[in-house]
Amino acid sequence: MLSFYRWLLYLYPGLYRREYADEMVAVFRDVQADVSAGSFKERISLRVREILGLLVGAVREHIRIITGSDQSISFRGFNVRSEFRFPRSTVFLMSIIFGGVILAMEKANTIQVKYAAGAGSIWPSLPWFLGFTLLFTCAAAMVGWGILFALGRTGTHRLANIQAGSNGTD
Amino acid sequence: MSGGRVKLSTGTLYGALRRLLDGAWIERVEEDESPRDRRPYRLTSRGRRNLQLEVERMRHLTKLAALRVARKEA
Repeated sequence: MLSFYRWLLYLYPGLYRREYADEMVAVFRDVQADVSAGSFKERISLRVREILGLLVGAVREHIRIITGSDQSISFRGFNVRSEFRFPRSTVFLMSIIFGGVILAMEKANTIQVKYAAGAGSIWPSLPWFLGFTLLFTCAAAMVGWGILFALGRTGTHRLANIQAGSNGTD
Repeated sequence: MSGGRVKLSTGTLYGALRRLLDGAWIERVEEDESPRDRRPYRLTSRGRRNLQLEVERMRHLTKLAALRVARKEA
């Protein structure tokens, strides 16, 4: 698990990793040692919590770097602050991604036409396709809900709000 | 501290520590003999002031809640 934990740390921005990775690994090692004598449920709970914490933390740090602010996006309310501005590089990257999506759609269309001319549809059958789509949507929704739940449980958004309030009074 | 009610992941903990450091609520204690993976932190005067404000806010909230409960029970 420790090597997987180290691997997950690579999801964080380089600067953050250089600053905190050693400490995080040391703390995780201590927590893992504490829980090692615990029940199976406690050990699994620790792993799920740590993995989710790292994923959410990495996303937050990348968003902070892109937007230049901790409070630009409220995950709980899904609202974006009025002073929120995308940097120019984001527009450029989004254009590239958009171009990639269009290209992929064109390619997929070509493949489908090719298969339709030969062995039929590329999808095995409609029920399988619908089932797969439903499963994928449920999995995506669960991951999204998990991230929002983790954010709500930690109360870090409230801490950030307090900090913003106190900065205003200083 | 919370009696096991609050369980922070290290990702969440260090995200909060980073924000506290950025906001100058806490600072690293530089010790020559402390290893790189064991760095202590301490509250700054600003952090202490904000902590007192937060404690006061929570005290006010619990007071309000107690008043409301007492009123319902009366």
